[in-house]
Amino acid sequence: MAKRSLFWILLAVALVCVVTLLSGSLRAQGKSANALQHAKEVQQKHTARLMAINGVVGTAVGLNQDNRLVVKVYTAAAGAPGIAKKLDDLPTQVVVTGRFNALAKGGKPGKPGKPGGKTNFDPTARQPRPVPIGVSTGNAGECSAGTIACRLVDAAGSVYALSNNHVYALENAALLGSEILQPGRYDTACVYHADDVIGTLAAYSTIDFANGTTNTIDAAIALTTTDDLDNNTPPNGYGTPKSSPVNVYVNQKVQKYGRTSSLTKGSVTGINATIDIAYGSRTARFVNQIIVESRKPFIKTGDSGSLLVTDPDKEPVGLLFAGNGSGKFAVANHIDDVLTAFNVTIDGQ
Amino acid sequence: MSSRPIEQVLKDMTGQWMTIPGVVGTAIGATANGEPCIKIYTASQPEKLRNKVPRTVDDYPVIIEHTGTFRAFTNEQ
Repeated sequence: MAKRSLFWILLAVALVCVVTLLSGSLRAQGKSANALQHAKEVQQKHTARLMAINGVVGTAVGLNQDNRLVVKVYTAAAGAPGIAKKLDDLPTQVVVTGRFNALAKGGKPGKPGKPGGKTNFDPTARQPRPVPIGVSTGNAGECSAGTIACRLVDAAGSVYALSNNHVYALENAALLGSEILQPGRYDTACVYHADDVIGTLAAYSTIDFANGTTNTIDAAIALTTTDDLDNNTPPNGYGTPKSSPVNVYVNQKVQKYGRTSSLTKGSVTGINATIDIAYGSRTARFVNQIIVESRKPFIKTGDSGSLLVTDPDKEPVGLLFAGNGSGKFAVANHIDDVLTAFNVTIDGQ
Repeated sequence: MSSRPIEQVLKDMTGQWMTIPGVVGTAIGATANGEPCIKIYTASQPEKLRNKVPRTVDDYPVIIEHTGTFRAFTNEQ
């Protein structure tokens, strides 16, 4: 109840701030105070009905891209039904914000490092044990490299490293029990070093390449120990992810740390995505995926397996595994689907 | 006003759209104005698809985005 009250207080404060800022903006543009007052009245008149719609989390008076007064309707996700395009004589503008949280969970967000790894840290190199998450990894059976997403635990207390099937299980071809390395052999000139082993392949979700089939995750886990695997990114990353995933929504700010492009940031621009993914000469169809976009490349070859977390709160939302040619579009599985498949939780903060 | 939730529209249309040459994906997204929309990702130029998919379905805008093909992102030798 206290949380709910706090939510309304924060929402009220936010609305006052918006209106105050807007007043100044409107004055600067020569728009009348009467017009703003009218817009506020229209908004107030319709807010109770709008807030009763499932998925609507707030309303406000604002300006659209054409600088016209609108009633903004904030929704938890795209597609909230029953929102009229006009309220009286004012247009509405639906803004997908996700749900407003009264308070962030836990402490202050960590200070991220420079995107693109501008410090001296090299995620492709062999790391002292326990290795951080977000660095090079691979199956000993192939000269390749992907990324360690995060550390996992199961109910029995066993510890696992998470990455993609195509990184750890070699697109269904690897044997359970096969060795998992840090770094992956691509980063050791394809040479196998026995002391690079950090675990063994414990389980994977099969990728189905047959026509007419669909997949939801490209994921595999390796049995490891806390002596071999830590639960935080390198110093130029976002730090330790939260243990509890959150729901994904359009326009959500996200970040990842990966073996090739280190820390990058972007926004969720697509949900419920159906995407055909090329694995060499084969193609697999994935459903219920997350699309992330960035002006700069968000993902590069070798970043497969990176954990997608919110920015700045570090709450897990996805497991990255694919992207387009420029890397400005990335594809991620829902992390909930991954955790459910292996009956594990994230060993984070 | 839309008669179907956007998730249902996407579900109903995706199978058909994914058979169009060049289409590599679909998703729910948002327009520049923040309105919910349907996105179609394509490996070919968007204008080649424009007459093959509607501009709106149930009032939801359909936006074609040129992404190229998507591929798994491991380094491999």
